[in-house]
Amino acid sequence: MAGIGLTRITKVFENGVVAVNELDLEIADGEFAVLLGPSGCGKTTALRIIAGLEEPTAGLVRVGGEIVNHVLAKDRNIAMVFQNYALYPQMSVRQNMGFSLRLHRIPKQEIKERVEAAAHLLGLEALLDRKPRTLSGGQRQRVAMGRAIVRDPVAFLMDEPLSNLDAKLRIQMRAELLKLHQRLGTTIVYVTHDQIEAMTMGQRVAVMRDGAILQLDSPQRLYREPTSVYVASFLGSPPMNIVSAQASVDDGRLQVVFGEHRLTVPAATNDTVAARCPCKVALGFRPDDVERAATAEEAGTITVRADVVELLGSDALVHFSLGSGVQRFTELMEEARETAALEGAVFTARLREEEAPASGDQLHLHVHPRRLHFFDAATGARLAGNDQPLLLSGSLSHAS
Amino acid sequence: MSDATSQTAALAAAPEVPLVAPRIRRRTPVGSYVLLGLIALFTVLPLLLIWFTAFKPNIDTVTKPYAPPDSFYLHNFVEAWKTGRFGTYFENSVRITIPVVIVSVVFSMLAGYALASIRFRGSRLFLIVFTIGLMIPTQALLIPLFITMRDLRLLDTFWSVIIAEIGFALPFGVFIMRAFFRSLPTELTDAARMDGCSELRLLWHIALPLSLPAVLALALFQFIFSWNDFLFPLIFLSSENARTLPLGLIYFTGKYTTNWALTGAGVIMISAPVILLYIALQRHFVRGIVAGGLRG
Repeated sequence: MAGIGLTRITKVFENGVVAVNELDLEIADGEFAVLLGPSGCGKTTALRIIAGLEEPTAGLVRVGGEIVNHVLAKDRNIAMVFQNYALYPQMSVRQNMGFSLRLHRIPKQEIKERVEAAAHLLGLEALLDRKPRTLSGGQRQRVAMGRAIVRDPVAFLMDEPLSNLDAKLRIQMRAELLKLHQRLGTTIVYVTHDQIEAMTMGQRVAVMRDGAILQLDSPQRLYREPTSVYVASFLGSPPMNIVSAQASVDDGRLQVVFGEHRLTVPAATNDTVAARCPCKVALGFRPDDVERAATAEEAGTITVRADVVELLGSDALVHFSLGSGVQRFTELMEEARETAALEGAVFTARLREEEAPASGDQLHLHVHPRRLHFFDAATGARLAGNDQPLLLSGSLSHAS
Repeated sequence: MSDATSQTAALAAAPEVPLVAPRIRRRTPVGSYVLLGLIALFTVLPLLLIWFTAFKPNIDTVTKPYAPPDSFYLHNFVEAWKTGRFGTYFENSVRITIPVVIVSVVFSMLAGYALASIRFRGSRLFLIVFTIGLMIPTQALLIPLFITMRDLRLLDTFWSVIIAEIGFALPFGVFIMRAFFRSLPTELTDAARMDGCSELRLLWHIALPLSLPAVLALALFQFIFSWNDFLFPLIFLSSENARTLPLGLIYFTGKYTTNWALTGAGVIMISAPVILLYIALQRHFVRGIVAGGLRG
């Protein structure tokens, strides 16, 4: 087992595309780290650089503290699980799993034992003599995992390994992967564009964009304390509501105005913003941090009209617009810009089902002042905000 | 209850719809059959005539050239094998063709693999050189090749033909193999590298087993090319003992007459190995061509 380190890694492809840009990343021994980002953000390239399948243009790659830039992929003792599983079609499951050991001249008896032990761990015993083409997607996925486990590598690299599975199987495999990690304790670097996978599996998640890491944190911190508008809007479903607003301090209270709406919060809630006032900010609040208020009198309450109400069973998604002049904050968010244009600047609140209004109803929404996020309107960087102590669960706290 | 009644009533009132959709009648494409039949006839007829000719005495080839043989007359084959020295020529052809096929297929595999999946300086240049090789007709290089072989003192040896044929077989082989190796998913080769394969092992354990159809198809192509080659043996080999089968065939044609019966038997003997090999490898052959062609 080994930790993995990337220092100022840059990868420029022959066609001039900069896939990874001065990337720094330290992954502790035994950690489950996730690289999360939209397609083309450089996460797979970063993974391939760790694997040795891609040579960095500049920077250092370390595995177990040793620089491995000039070590070939085959000699790094790292196993990789690919998106399409990449099982050798001409070999049986047993041969697929034992192939690496065979190449490393491990005695036959030992190969047999190790393959069978891994098969037992993954519930593949009955499939050992079948060819990959006769297996289902989930089974192939497990064989690919088995092929990696058998080698007892210093680290596992996983490139969107669950993306070809159906939703139900994906949830099941997520849990199995976590169990596996707990059991083996091997370092895992996991690449995905699926935020749910990242949030549920990663001890730490690196949100990537344009070849660089924007934020590397525990999932809870990413969700509760995003350091930029981009991270805030990338994580969470439905995404965070972010509006362009004007902030000022009046009578010791922070006043945030957007369109015809005004939120009043104690200035102490956010000293950083208060100190800069008056200023333009990007104000964000998560759909989950909104609750229905009885009157508009309460501080931190806005009055909106429900455009569409989606009932999801236990809760309901209320889509509303904030009236003319209020736009979704889209600077620095190329991806979001298109969405905003399509949706006509629709905002969302997640309410309990019994609180859900009917479509077209007017309702008062209360946003908890501590759950407001303030970002610099020009740079998109966080202006502090939610300073509530975070509750990290025991199993995850050591990662951050 | 009332719902059910009204439903039944509605069903009863509905116009009768046949439960089985009427079969769509397709017109027999008579024109196509006639055209295909004619093409088949034009292809099969000359072959059939050769078979007829080979199995009848030479005199019959003049008196009743188009008639089927009266009996299964095998003397022509014996005659061609012994008098026509087809036994020697057959051996010569084998001694040239086998090394040509083996060397050209192995080299094509190695070069095709390197050009398809290894990034190295000058790979584009190599590819261009091979592609140019595809475009040069054999005849254009005959004289320089002849002079080179003469200077190397290889004239009238099998080596001259073997080397020249390998040279002309390679561009096509490299092209086909490169196309096939490129069609292999990169994840598969990446996985093999992660598993600990060197490039050579990757080729041997992963790429080759998966490209067996292409390799077999290529081997068959090169076999046909070398086995049927007429020009290089004609130019490079002068002594009678060194002749190959296609060369042997023309010696049944004299200045004024041609022994059609012996020629027919000779043609059958030359084409038999090719046909047998094709039948044996047919399945792979078609798969190889399709895969290489579509995904190249």
